[in-house]
Amino acid sequence: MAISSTLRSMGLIGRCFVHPIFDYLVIGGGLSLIVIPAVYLLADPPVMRDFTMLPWFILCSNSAHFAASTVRLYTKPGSRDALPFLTMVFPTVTLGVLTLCMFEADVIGRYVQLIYLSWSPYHYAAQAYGLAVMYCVRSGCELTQNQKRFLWWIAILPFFKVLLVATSKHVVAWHIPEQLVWSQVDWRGGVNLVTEVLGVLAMALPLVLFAQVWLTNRRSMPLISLLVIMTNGVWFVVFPLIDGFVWTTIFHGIQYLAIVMIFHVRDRVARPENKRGVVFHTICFYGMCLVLGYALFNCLPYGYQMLGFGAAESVLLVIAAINIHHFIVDGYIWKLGRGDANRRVVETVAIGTGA
Amino acid sequence: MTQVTRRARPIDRSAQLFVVGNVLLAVLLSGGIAHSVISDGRPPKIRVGFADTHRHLIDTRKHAEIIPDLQTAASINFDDGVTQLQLLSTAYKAHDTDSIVLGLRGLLNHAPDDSELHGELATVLLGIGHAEDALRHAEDALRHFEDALVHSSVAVRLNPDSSRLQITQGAVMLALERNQEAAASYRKALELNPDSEPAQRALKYPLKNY
Repeated sequence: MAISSTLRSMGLIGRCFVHPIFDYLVIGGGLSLIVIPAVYLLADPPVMRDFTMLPWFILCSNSAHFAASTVRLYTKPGSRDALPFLTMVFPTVTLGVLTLCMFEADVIGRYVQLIYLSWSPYHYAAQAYGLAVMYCVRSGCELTQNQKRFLWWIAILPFFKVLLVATSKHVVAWHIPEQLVWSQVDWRGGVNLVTEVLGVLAMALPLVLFAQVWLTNRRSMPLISLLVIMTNGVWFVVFPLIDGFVWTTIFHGIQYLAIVMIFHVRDRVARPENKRGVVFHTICFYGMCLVLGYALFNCLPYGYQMLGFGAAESVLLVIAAINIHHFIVDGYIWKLGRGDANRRVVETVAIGTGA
Repeated sequence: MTQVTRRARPIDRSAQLFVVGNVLLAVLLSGGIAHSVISDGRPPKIRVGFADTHRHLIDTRKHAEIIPDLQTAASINFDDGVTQLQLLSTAYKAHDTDSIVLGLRGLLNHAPDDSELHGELATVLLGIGHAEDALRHAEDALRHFEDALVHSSVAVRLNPDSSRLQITQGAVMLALERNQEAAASYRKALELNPDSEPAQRALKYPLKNY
């Protein structure tokens, strides 16, 4: 009984990467739960849009985070051998497809945009799930296959909510304009009810899973796993859709940059030939992300304008292509397979700790 | 030996493709910087999506000149109300009815419940239909009138107590030669606003006998 209660309490905080405060605030998304209410209480929401520093903020968090997946892909040990298509061929394919889309931007652009807008909330949800599982593995809390499946479904509930709320963001809009969807039969009352139920479930089910793991596994899931799932839910459940996207974009970017830098730095520091410290590797990685982020989001559209394409398609399609490239790359670089560099980083501290 | 050569080929090819991709990217990036320096006198500015680009277009070009760019932006960025509003306001200033329709449709995607937007779109479509009719393009005119009817019906359903929307509905019905229903809409408009001159005029002529 005493051992059981010790195990449960030890697992509550979980095994953090940097420090519980840093992990919970930045990676767990706890910072958003402090910053967002502060912004709403202290200033009008439009401040976010008129803020003169916003472009710099977007560059440092959002653009850098998109670049980070590419930087990680090429700096991760063994990725060229493990992912030859993704590392060698995919960038050229992306550039080629993007260029072809430019020629028919008025027709195809809408669908490229739809793909990336539909994919975004799924990507955020998948990241939340991945982080939650990662902290469980790292903290020695082994979830059963059923518990993992349950966690996955809970994590993607906000994605389903977005799909229902924003008909224009997915496949229905490929065929029928939204105003006509609603004009035929007014079934929005039912849809609103379903989205509200999804919102409640997205907030309540993580607690149910937490209790279930607590009771059946005789130990606790780390609270950060719970937090990361619930903050993603809060972004899309509590706020209106547009605000949800804005806040998610910002805090997902920060969350992503933090975790990818931790993995990169740990890989670099673990190299036998390494002579540099953590700060050096952190600055180098972030510097690369900033430069690539600036080049892709700000210089590349001008490149297409130089070729004679309009400003609109050059900017908007480049953004969509970077997003889609990021989602695909991200689907591969976070695998925790045996022998993978990521697995080593996740397990490094967990092994032998008994936590 | 043959096996080794066969295995090496795909790797060589992917390496070549990688080099080609990177060269293309480098050309686009350096060309982009050069283009920005030549056209704006500075390296590419750090910006937020299309919003900054739109501001730049407004500052440097005339309304009619930026309509094609705004149309493309609105068709790609169909889900962003701001982009639609930018197109709509520029289209009104440039008197470009096709772009006004595009902007209104885009805004409706953003606010499908807005009866005024539905009514405005119906009015614009009705105007285009009449213009087509005057040019004896009967099929195009009918298509626009029917489209106008969809939106005026939604507008009236969303806000049945608006005299103005009832008048729009009446005008659309009249254009479609559904005179009975047109008269009913105008009468409803008069009930809501007894001083409504368009309703009085329509019921006096051409709907005198309905």
